[in-house]
Amino acid sequence: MNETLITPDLVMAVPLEHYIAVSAILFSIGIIGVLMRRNLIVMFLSIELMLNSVNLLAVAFSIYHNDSNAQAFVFFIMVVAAAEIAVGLAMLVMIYRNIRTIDIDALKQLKW
Amino acid sequence: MNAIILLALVGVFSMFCGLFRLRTLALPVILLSLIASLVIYQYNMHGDFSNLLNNMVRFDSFSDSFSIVIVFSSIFLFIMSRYYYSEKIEHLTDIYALITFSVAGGILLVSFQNLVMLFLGVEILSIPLYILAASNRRSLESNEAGLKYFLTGAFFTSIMLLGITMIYGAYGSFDTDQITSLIQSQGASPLFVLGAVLILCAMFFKLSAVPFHYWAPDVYQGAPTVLTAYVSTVVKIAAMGALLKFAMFITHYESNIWVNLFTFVAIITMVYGNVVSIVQHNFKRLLAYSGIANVGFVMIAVIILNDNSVPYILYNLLAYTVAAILAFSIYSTVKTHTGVDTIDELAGLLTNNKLLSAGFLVALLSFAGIPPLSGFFGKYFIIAHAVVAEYFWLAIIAVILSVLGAYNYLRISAAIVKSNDSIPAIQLSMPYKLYIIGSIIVILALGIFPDQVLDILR
Repeated sequence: MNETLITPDLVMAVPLEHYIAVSAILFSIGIIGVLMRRNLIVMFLSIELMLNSVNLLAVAFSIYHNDSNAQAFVFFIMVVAAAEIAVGLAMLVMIYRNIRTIDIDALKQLKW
Repeated sequence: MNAIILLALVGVFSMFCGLFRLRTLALPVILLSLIASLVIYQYNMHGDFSNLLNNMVRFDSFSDSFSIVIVFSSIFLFIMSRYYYSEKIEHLTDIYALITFSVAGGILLVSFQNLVMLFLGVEILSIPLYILAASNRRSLESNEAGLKYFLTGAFFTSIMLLGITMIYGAYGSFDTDQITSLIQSQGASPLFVLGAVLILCAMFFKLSAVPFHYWAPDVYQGAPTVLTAYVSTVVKIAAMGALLKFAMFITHYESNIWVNLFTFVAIITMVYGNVVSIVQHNFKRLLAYSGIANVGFVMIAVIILNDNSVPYILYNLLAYTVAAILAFSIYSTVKTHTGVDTIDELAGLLTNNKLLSAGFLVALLSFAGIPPLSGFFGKYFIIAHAVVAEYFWLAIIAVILSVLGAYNYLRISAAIVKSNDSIPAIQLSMPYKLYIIGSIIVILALGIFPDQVLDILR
């Protein structure tokens, strides 16, 4: 059996700065995706990307602080993200039934 | 904690009522449970959950006062929703259940002691709101309002999470007490300041403070009016409670940055809300901007932040809430019966509908700050608070802008009292008349006995 366990040593083989850099890059990609793309599914994906970059950061901090609280926090984030995206996808289906597109530029009723 | 458990169970019960065709049972049970929660808070029957909770939430006098105001306001909201939704609507009990869950989330939010609970409270409060905003499935406006609210809300959720993780990264703990003692022993790290600013951004978004207000007018206009009333009142009370508690936490790190940040946000919020509302024609949009202005006003007390801040903020929010729910309720009644949408079309409401107009006028004059209505003391306490703390220029700005804001409400009032009988008489049921009269009495009572109310809120 050649089983690789993810131990704190393995995680700490990479310096903390690298984790911060990767999650900052992922978070920025997520923000850019939400702001630039007009397809609803891609926007939801980008929001998920932002949440998951936070998860990565939380786990990295958790191991470097030698404290497991943030790893439990990651599960909270995952549960809430699932609930949120369930609501979002339901909304997407509803909008698709009404206007037959998921391009948000079609929704321009409300403005002053 | 007992109140949160009770409300969550009643929410589940309400969903089952819909399943077993007992929908008339749902609302009385919810109202009873809200009154029971008030009793729980008044007599401090929280139950001893300290072993289970692990210091995640704390129920002290601060959270009790905020919870009492949240629960009290939601009673008015449920009575309003009884007359907003017709009996035949398909998912009535689900809507009640969602609002109940959201109220429970609001109570959790104002009692947070651990940053994880702050996040969970915000989410339990908001996820039902996204569904409710889009709950009018066939209306494209409601769809759009729900989607806009959801996208921006989820976006700011991730911003808040990043902030919480940064604070964790700085101190290795989510517990506000532990972080406070670590700040005092180690000093504040830049990561903490950055994280706190990100969390504040997310809270300003929930409060619809400028520059994070763009969702508010659209959501208010498109969403069902009950949801609009809920977002503009109860949600703001809960978010303001969380902001106040968080402000008390971060000011352990002594710095000018917080005062400067709050002052900046308060002033641009007041200016923007009051100025832009002048050009609005849709009533719900106008109330969105007036709500934005009120948030800026309340934030003056957050800048000063001493023992008197909490009762003054609560009094202002309570006064605003009762008047706003009454105004939204009457507006939606008029709209469903006559199709009126803009402020100009409200002209001549008084001619045929005396009681509706009386309620509307009392609510509007309370917003405008005419004594002895509650809105006057709501504004007076905050301005007096600023003067006592020697923030004279802030008080002067607040007075000028509240005069400017009063123009809007007087504009609507003037439209209502115009002699013009274009709006036919609307038949009201007896309980609805009692509700309007009861709300008027509450607004007057809050204004006539402000000291007694402050004592309860303290």
